[in-house]
Amino acid sequence: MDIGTSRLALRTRNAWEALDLGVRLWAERKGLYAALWATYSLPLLLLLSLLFWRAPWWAGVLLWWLKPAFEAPILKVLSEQVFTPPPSYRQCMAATWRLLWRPRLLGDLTWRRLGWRRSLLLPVTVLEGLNGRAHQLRRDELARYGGGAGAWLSFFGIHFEAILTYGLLIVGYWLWFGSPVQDALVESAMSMKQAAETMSTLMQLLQQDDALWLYHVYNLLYALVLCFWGPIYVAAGFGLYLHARTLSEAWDVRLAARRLAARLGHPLAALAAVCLGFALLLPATPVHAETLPDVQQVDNSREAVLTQPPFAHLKDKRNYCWRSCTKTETDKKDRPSTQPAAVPTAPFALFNMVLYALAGLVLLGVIALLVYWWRQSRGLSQVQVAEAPETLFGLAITPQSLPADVPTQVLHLWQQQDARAAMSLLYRASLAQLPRRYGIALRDSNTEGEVLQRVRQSAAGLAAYWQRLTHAWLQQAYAHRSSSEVEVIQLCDQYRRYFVHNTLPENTTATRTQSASTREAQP
Amino acid sequence: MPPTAPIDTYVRVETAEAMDIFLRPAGVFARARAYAMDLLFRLLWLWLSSMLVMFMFVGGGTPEWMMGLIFLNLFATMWLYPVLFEVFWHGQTPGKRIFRLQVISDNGAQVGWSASLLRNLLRLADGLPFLYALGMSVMLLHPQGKRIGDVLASTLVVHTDDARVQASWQALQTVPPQAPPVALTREEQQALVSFAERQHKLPPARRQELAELLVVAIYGHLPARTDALALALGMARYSVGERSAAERAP
Repeated sequence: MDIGTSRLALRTRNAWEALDLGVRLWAERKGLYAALWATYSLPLLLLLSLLFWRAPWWAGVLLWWLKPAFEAPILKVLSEQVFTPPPSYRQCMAATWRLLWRPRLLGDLTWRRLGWRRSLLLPVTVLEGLNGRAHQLRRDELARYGGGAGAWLSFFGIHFEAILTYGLLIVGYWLWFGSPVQDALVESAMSMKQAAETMSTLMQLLQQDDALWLYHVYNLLYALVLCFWGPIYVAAGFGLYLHARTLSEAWDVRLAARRLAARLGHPLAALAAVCLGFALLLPATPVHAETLPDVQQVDNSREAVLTQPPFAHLKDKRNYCWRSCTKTETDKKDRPSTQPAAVPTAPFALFNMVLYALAGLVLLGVIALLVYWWRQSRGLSQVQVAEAPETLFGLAITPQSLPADVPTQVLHLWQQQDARAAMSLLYRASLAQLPRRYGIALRDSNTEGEVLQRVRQSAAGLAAYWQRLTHAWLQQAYAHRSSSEVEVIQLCDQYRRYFVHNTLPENTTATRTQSASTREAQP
Repeated sequence: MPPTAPIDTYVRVETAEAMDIFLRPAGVFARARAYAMDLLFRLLWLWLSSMLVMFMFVGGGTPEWMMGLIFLNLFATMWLYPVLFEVFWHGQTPGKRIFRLQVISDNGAQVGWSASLLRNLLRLADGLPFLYALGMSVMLLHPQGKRIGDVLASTLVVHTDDARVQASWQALQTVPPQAPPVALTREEQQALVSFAERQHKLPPARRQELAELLVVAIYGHLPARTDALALALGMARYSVGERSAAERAP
């Protein structure tokens, strides 16, 4: 099997979309999966109900607890559905009933039953057939890519199962007794009394021993809900598993490379060897993955560091006492209370009001401050006003800090072998023009790259110059590589033309091709 | 080759300008999380504002108009909160904004008053019979993860773009852009760009192997005396429209 023939559109998604992809896979054959699940689980429910006839809650708990047993067959069919549409119900049953008993099932039903990432890890067990140490390594690697969403899926599942089961119960109640809300709307005067009566009859019903049938009904509804939800849980986890492998092995890039080679007619000799290696159902060979450091070793070295001088030693000191402690406690009890009998409320009313209003205001202020910081740090602020900061990357960019004739000064500095000062002057002089002349708002937290982005968006005519200037400046500032003299002279010429003679129209929305033609027109 | 259309979560929409855009619908899981967050905010607000109102008038009994104020607040918080945010805040309630979701019209346009009101009033139907049981089931069954309100109001909840990608491009500033020897299609360029955006998350050996794969696929061989990784990343930069200094020089 080759992932190249997959029916899924493999691409980088976020983990939540990966869950949805699994659901799409399920939705293609939802009837089939519900039928498979029902075939495996409903007989079991019948058996459990008969066994625990007088204690039906045990049947419900056991049905829930045994869920992992039915998940493997569903997963098997899902994994084939990735390549071909699955066959009929009969064929699926014949192919999967043996999976009811699978390796590692015992562990999954006992000490691993409450794991949050069960859905993500099931494919590792069932499809890759890994066990022991290999399973653990693989689990840790995949969990890096989708573990969080896997846990959320389980969390969601717990609620969804409960909501749907109670929903069905409520519908049943409505059909039987009529909706209390509806009754209340019709006879509003009776509503409170009626609600109380309904509640008390319900409570009586539940307390009687005859109410066992209600638990049996609940179990049946729960089993039916599981026929719907169980396969979805498996499918969403499978989608997450595919997502984790797409990311960790870059399936989509490989596929694109293969299609590209096929289109261009290049020999695939080098590629074929690589592409054969990632069949879906084989255990991924972890040759290319970096091995994680040994956990034990990391723990040891951390312990060693933490016991050394600069870190504080925390000592847990406990005194076990028997007689003396109880004595002090009884002493305390015997002491008469110094509290006044009753707190007079009236004088405190105004005080309370002021206090809580103040607390509310402080809370609102803190929230406003948090929102403000959040917007600042995320750069999501929509401020469009052209504010001009006085410094950027530590360079002063006020007009007062610049010489009158910038290009001449730059060339002068350049000839004095002070390339850094020259480029710095040219760059900050150009920066100083942006807010004032092109209305481009800058903040002193902006980086060079962000400034370039702003120029491209708001003054496309200037983009070519700015790209060139930024490159030259970055080379000088961080790589200590000076530009050629021709380059500097040309940059100064362009500066003169754009900012001294004003040849460029302001805020041009020229496209990239147009700005390219202006570039070619330059000598 | 797959015989039918591939199974996908994306939706292709053709705009009025005959341009194809891809929408990334959000399914029930992402939406439930955002809803829970919004619910938390609303409950917090209700608790806080009711407390404030109560304490403002403590001692003077409970005037009826105060109860009215509280009920008005309750109504506005429960019913107008989503509508107002969706209309005035680019289709995002605070919960949706935190988890980067957005409500849009299913042709890609922004939602207006009528669509937003309709989809939010229909929460009454989606919420039946108990805590959105119906709405969640419909979301699981619908190919684009819509609930009843979304179906009738023709709206869609989508994932918005992840801004963190920008950071990985900043790190590539030192790699010189490189024109590929042949013209690449849009999908192929997307593959290059996708590789460049994720390369820092891959182990070095795998990164190198993928880069070689891409370079061999494009060039037909590994160019001598060239670093395949730099070449692949350079072509990725070229694909997003960045050109080298040599090409820009007049």
